[in-house]
Amino acid sequence: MAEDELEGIKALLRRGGVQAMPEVVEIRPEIRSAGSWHLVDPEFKPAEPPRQPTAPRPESGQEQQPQPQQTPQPQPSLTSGFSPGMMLRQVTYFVPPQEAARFQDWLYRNEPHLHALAPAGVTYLGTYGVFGRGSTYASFWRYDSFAAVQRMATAVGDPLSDFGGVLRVLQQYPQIRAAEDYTEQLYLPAGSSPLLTPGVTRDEQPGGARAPRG
Amino acid sequence: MSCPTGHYSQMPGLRLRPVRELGVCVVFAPAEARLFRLNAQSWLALELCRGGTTAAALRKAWREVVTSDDAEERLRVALDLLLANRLLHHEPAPAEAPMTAAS
Repeated sequence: MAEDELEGIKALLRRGGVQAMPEVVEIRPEIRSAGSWHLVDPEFKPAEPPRQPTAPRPESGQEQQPQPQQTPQPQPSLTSGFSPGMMLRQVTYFVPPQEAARFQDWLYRNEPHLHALAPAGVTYLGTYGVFGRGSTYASFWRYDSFAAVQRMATAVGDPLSDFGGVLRVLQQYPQIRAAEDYTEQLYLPAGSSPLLTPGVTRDEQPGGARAPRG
Repeated sequence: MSCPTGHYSQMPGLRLRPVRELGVCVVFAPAEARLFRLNAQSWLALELCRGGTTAAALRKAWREVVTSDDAEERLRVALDLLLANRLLHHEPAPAEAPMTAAS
């Protein structure tokens, strides 16, 4: 099998000639969840409906009844109450025991940077050891908006971003031996009803439901 | 320019998935959960080190396929990249005399 593979590569090189220099490029996977986002961005402003033409004046004898004024319903505010943010993200991961001391020392020295350099609307809330699960840690992040999520993603992917650089070092500590060694969980404040829409399954929405906006 | 010396072997547990239609190979390094794309030359160097090989045998096998004038330089580049990304393990042989450019 290996011999066949080797002969295949040799044939490939002979066919194509040797042009480009040897290359080894790391592939950084972009993981996209297939799940539905039953979320509504609180910063989303629906377009105003087109203005209706002025209604003709009622004819004499048909006086229009005044419509009762609708009292605006109070909207839950994310800046009040107990909510720690529009979205709370928990990243849980395994760090090999032999790396624990180095990892904890790195955190001690770099957590202030993670907090200070985080993009606008993103707050690093800390990294905690998970009680009862040896060598397992959880890092918590708070996002104030979907725009903050986007800013975080942009910073992480930007090779010139100081924040991205610190975060990429942090990401080198987890070891993934099995899928459950690295998990992410998003939390939304259940009391903020505008953030949660009734569930729409992919089957119910042609093409799949992705980030429906209201 | 330094010549490869010692003994080279693939890091244990590597999973290679050839993408023949593109002439590349995708390599998964489970110890670090990292993925790499190797072009044909780097792929060849890695494949020649399957099971372990001496630098001399590696150079000989390499020169059978890569016949350009800069074949030695290309091998050195490939080995440097594979070592830097921890896809290869290198065991130096201090007693081994550096190889000459003659094949």
